[in-house]
Amino acid sequence: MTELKNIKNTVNENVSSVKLDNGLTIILVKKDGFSSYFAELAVNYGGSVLNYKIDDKNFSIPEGTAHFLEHQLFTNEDGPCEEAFSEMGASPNAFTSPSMTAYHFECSRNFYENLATLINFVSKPYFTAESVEKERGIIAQEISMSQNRPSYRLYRNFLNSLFERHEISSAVLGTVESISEVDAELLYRVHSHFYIPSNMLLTVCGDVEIEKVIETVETAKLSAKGHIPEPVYSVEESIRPFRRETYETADIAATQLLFGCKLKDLSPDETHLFEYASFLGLNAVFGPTSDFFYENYNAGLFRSSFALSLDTGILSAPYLTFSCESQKPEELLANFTKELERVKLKGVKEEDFRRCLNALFGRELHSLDSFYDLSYALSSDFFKGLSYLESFELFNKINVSDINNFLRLIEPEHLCVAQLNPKE
Amino acid sequence: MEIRKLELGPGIRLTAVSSDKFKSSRFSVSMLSSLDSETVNAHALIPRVLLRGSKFRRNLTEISRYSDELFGLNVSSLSRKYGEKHGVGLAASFTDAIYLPEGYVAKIIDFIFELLLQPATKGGLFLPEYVESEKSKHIEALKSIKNNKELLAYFNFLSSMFEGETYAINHHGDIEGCEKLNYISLSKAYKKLLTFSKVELFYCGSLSSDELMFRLMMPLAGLPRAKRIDIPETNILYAPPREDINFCFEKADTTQGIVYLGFRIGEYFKTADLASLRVFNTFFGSSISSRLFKNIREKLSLCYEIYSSYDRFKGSFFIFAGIDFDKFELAKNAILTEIQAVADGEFSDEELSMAKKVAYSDLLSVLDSPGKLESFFLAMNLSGKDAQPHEFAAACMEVGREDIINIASSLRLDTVYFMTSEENK
Repeated sequence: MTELKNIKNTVNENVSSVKLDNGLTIILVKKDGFSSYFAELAVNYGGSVLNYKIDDKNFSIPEGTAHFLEHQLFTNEDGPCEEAFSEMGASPNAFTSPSMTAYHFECSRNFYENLATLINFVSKPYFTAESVEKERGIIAQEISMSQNRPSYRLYRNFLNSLFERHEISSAVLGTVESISEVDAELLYRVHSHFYIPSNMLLTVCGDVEIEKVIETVETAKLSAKGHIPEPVYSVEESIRPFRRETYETADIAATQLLFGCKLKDLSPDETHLFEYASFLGLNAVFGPTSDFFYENYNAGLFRSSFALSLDTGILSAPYLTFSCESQKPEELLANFTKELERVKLKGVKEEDFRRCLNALFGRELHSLDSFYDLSYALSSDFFKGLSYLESFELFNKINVSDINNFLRLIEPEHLCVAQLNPKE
Repeated sequence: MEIRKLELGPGIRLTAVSSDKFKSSRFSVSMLSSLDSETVNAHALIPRVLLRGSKFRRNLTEISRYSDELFGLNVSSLSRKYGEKHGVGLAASFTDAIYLPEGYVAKIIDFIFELLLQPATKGGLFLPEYVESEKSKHIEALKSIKNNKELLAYFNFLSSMFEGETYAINHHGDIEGCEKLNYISLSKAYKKLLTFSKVELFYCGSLSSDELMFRLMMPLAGLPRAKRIDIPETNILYAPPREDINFCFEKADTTQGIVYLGFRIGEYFKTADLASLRVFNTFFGSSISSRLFKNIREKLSLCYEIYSSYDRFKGSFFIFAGIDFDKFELAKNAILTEIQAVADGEFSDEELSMAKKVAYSDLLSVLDSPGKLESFFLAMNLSGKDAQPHEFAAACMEVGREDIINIASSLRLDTVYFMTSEENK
């Protein structure tokens, strides 16, 4: 076991981390005075991993496998794990993102017993042909439910148009066809490859003792060590979109617009700066405080929100998105491009930068109140080789030149536009 | 954590939760009136117009810029339904005083009241251009409900089940009613709302209640108040208002069948305690060890999403399921069989014990979230109850088998709603 170390931060959080002999890292955020406890066991394996290699041996798996595995792990040899949690008053859940899978629970009592249950069910798979078949039906319903949501369809269309080959455009849920290829044998294999302690992170939030957490984890015994699989992504993509535009119709009231672009590959060291610069730059130029927002909102070009985001889940495929509901998407896009060109020449003003920096600080600080958000940020950054809480130091370092440098990376001709239009 | 409830004037109640454990604070102003088709559109629109401009920050940009300067203050409009009462107003999340420079909390509270009580006006009336702009955006939002088929199904189900009752009114308003509003009618509605509504103020943050009251004294002096403010209580029907079950089938462009079953809780609701209802809902359909989740989703593999909910003000109980189009009868019958089984006492003590423990934990988690604390105390205040989360949690642990059996036996099926695809027969 490595020495327990405190993670320094500027936001009054009492955080420590330790790496166990089996390779599992634990991060504890000690929250005095809170009534609940939260633990998340995350695996560095998500829905975008369709190809990987271990010791130069290559493997391919169907779209939707990571998510299928997440569903299946909730049942082990003793039956559904939900009951074991409920008996101890805990509420468990799980999610699969493009880059990771995470299992978590919240409770107000019996924390260590629940932690043992979490580790047990994640590390002891039990799949049968029957249980896989039953889960396939449930997941098919989940896929159907997602397709009922226009925003999901738009997002899928956008990613499939923006990327030609990169696996980030694959559907985390998979498709009804792709999940038909998943069977118990495949799930066992994938589990044994990815669900190894050195490829996982345990995050704990609450008023708990790290020594007892370690003792619980060591008693529960995670699976044996193994070589960490290396995801293989189709990285050789042009910075230009695969298709510039994509349109679909649906039974909706007004056009839903989603546009954005790929950005250059990121190294872990530059990721936080890039994330901050994108938030600050995009908000200063296009956010609610900008002249662009004011003019286009008043002109009725979008309804209430103009959402901006940078996705850095997979560092080889970062991308920017802008989304809104608009009655006049062409006019809005033309105004966007014009504003982008203007700001690339003139730059963001220092006062706008300072104001957005205040807002970003508040937003990031607020997210520390949510155990779920905090654990997600810690896990997501950990798997990229970063420390989330250290990112707060950037508030004293970032400057307006960083913002302007970021904005100059966005080229209008690199934009990909997805529209979901109302049926006539 | 110190929790205080204080009357600050006629019909004005403050619930203050003082705690230094959070990094964000929450402050909300909810103005409550009867849910009424005559006023619902104006009341739903007023908060949107208030966020367009104030006396000192005349437009959206100035408001947004000032909010950013205040370290990410986020003020949003509220329109919520509590049985047959309508609560509208403003809710703000902001960086806690501990992390703000000196004097910023005072600025934030003053600004929220500036937005609420000193809107941008001309000749004492809302600016026509702001009203028209927000009206049009609100109408677009109402039209966009059809984008989300689950939400569309929910509203249509409520309209069908509660047809002729006040509860059927959509608290976001309706397109036709909203179109009739103008800056004069909205300004009059705003003044009435300020004067005749009951006001619930909620704060959670590191200020003590005394400090908070000191901060609120001046802004509240600007709130006009009637001498007497009465809002009728929700009209509860203990049995369906018709002899037969109300079946409502609807076709839409949907990829999944959407089922809603609506029940009146029945005679039990006359003496029901909130803890029993909470545990029953957890036990029957709102947790992953519930009967619906275990038996309909996991054993029968009929759906991905299935859950139950209840309205503590109206005495109604709802079940939602997303299913294959051809599984409607199967799903409906399986759900009704589950209710009957519970009414017949066919469940173990362990199942009930699990539900109680989950409800207990869920309620204690309320203490760890400013947003959950606000929802909890507002609902408690409007139910006329004074319990705190840990007291309510303890009451859940006292719920017995007979309470669960009595609730299940008392449920009266009122409405069966099914949204299916255009192609499906």
